[in-house]
Amino acid sequence: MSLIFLCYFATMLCVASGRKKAACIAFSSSTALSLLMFAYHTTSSLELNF
Amino acid sequence: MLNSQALYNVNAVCILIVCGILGGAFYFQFGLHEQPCPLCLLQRMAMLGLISALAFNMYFGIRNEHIALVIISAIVGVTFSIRQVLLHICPIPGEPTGYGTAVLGMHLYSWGVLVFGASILGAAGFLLLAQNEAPDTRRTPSPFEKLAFYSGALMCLANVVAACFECGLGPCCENGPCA
Repeated sequence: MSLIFLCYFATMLCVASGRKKAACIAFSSSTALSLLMFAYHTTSSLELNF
Repeated sequence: MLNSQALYNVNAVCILIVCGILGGAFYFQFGLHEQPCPLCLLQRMAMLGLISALAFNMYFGIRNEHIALVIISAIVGVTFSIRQVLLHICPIPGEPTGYGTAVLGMHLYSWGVLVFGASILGAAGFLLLAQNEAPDTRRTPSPFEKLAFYSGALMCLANVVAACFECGLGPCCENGPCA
């Protein structure tokens, strides 16, 4: 989980330093990773809040 | 610059509102000792996605493609929130309804649906009001905008540290890292 948060932080760092392409890559990776994590949680457990 | 400073200030206010919501989530985590579930963490991520997308507007000028990023993050976030609402939509007799403490009668994930829905509406408002800046625009944000951006970055860093202590780099399970 913290890896995905780190990706979002990297996005912000890239935006602030003016590297738009790198920021876009970091943004897409973090969004894709969060969706993958969502898929992992929804398919791996039937527990509530997962 | 095609767009007025007022529009960029609204952009910064939106970042501060999302920071406030994330700050509220931290209050629940550390003040009320309610550990966030994996779905809660995923919703926080989507909110940080909103902040990052709004930061694109701040540093590269308001453009349709940046607003598209806001809409993508909001749709991703509302998916996570609706999933959690649906998990609790049918209460189990004898057990407390919902997950965590309710705020003004609604649980945090229900508020999440409203926040992400409002973000999509706000993005539509930006599309109506703002003009597309040139693709190579590089602007220097005002001190107020910088304050909003640094608040967002600080909130993101705080989430990195909190999630690292809770679950490490990998996925989270109910009581910490998944085995």
